[in-house]
Amino acid sequence: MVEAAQDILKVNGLSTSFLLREGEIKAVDNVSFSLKKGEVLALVGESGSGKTVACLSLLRLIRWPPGKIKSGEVILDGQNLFDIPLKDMHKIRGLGIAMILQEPMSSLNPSIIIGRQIQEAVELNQGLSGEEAKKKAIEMLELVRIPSPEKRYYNYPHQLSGGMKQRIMIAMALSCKPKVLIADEPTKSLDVTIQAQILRLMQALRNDIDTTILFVTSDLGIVAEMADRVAIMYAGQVIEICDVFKLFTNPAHPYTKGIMKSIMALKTGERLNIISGDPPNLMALPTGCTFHPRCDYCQEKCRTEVPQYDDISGEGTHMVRCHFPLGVDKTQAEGKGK
Amino acid sequence: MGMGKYILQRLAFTILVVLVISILVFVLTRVVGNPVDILLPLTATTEQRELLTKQLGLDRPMIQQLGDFLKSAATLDFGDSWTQRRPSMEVIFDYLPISALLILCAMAIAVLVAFPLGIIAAYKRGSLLDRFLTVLSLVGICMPPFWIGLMLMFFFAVKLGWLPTSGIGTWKHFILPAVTISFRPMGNLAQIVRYEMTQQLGEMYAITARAKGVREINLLRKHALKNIMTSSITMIGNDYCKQLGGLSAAVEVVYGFPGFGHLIKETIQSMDYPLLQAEVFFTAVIVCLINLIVDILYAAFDPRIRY
Repeated sequence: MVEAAQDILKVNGLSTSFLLREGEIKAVDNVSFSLKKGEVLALVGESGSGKTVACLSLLRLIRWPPGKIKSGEVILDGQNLFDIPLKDMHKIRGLGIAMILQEPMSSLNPSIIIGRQIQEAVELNQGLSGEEAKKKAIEMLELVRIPSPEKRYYNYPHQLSGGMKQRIMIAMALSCKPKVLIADEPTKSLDVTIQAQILRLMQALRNDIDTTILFVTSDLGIVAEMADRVAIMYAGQVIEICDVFKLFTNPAHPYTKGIMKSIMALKTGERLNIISGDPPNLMALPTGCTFHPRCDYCQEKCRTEVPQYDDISGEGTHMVRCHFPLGVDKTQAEGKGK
Repeated sequence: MGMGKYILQRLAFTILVVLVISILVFVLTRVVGNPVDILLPLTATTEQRELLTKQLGLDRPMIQQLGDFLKSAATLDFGDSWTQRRPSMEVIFDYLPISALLILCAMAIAVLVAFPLGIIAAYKRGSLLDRFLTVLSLVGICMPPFWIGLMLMFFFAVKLGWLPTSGIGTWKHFILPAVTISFRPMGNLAQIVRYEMTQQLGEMYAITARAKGVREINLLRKHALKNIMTSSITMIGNDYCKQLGGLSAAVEVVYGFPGFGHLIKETIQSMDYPLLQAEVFFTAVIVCLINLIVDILYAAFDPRIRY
């Protein structure tokens, strides 16, 4: 396939579980998606839907025990990362895939000056050392718009604000010059004005450096601003994947439609639509489609049969995991697929 | 608050602690027994006993004795030792420095062994090696020091003849007692290092470091090590104080090492009040000073702490 050749990152059937005494938690269950070079894919889902675990699995940073990547493959630039011995993964981390974590407050080492921490990323991934690496680290501080970077280089994390720490995290991840950058809810724990600043910064950087980004968020406003395509996660599975325009105009999965409606209502002044029920217990998932107890369109088949991950566009651009996708005559779509 | 002011404050606190402990020991020793019974043979007459009681000043009211003691203690004069018949201060300076040095050597050995072992165990956590090291450190903590002392003496001094069996004189006399004393602090420290390291490896910053390509072993050495220093030096300081405060006595007795622990043991047995007071005074001062040093070191390792 021609398209597959352009994919810089391809995730196939990724499953990660946490094996606890009480049972198995399928945090990520048979997840597949791909990223083309230079593209921004948003990974969207409510908290606990497995977004962060999926990201950490890509870097093989799931800690055993109790976490375990059970199956799947992650192909970065033609190389399956799960074939590499774990002790050599440090060569992929940073240079291949870098990650911005969601908690800037605790994600920096409290006893090392921030300049040194960025410099370490430069030294490990850009082959620079000593004064050169230090100069580069200061440049990176400038890039993320830290005022008087030469002085800030010597600051410890506790001397910076939350927003500044998140900029440091971004600078550090970018210092790795990664092929793919994972941004795991980079604005989650910041207040709104700082959120806006960080987002503006990321957008500006995106244009400057032309990186491929996997942007994890639970904020659809951010999705509209940042992303080219969107993958929606529910209970550890990707249930719909399509481009941003289609997501906002023509969502096919009832869950996606539900979350879209819950923001649309704010604009039209109608009562806020909510998705009834609670997120599922990952240790005792519903049978059939995991969303069926909360679904307005639920039918008998949904309770018993696990839906397949189907292409409803016929071109591989709109995938849905639903027996009865909205706005699609399923039988016709199946025919098309074959 | 400046560092200078902090240190002054702590020194004032030290004086208070030493004062309270001195008074406590003064009262307690006079409650538990009569030194005259120990100093004189069983055949001594009542007159002889009364005479000695008077000579030692034990016939006066206790509050007066305490006043005299505090007055002279303020000028570091604790009076002559009853058993050794020379100034208590002189006796202390014969025994304390050599023990302080011995225990310092023991702590140095403990640190040099425990840190690498703890780090290796944390690096290989969950493995057979980790479990073996954990058991080993427990053994180090649990084995009675006098027994370790006898075993080491048997092998290295008696069987192999590499080291002297007992006494002092050369640096070689320090090796066996220092190694023997080091076992317990070594086990303690190795466990602290291993536990704290594994905690650090689960922190968010550890994930950040791994995500930028830091190798696991460098994560331990360059990132986590600095963050476990505060708890480690607390442990080291604590163990040093315990050993100097008398825990080393058994080992010193086994090796015939004329040290402070040995001296404390004998002084308690002979109820030599002036000497005992001096010993308690200096132990308290040293414990306070070591705690002060530990607190100052905190600031050196954790940038968030400022005095």
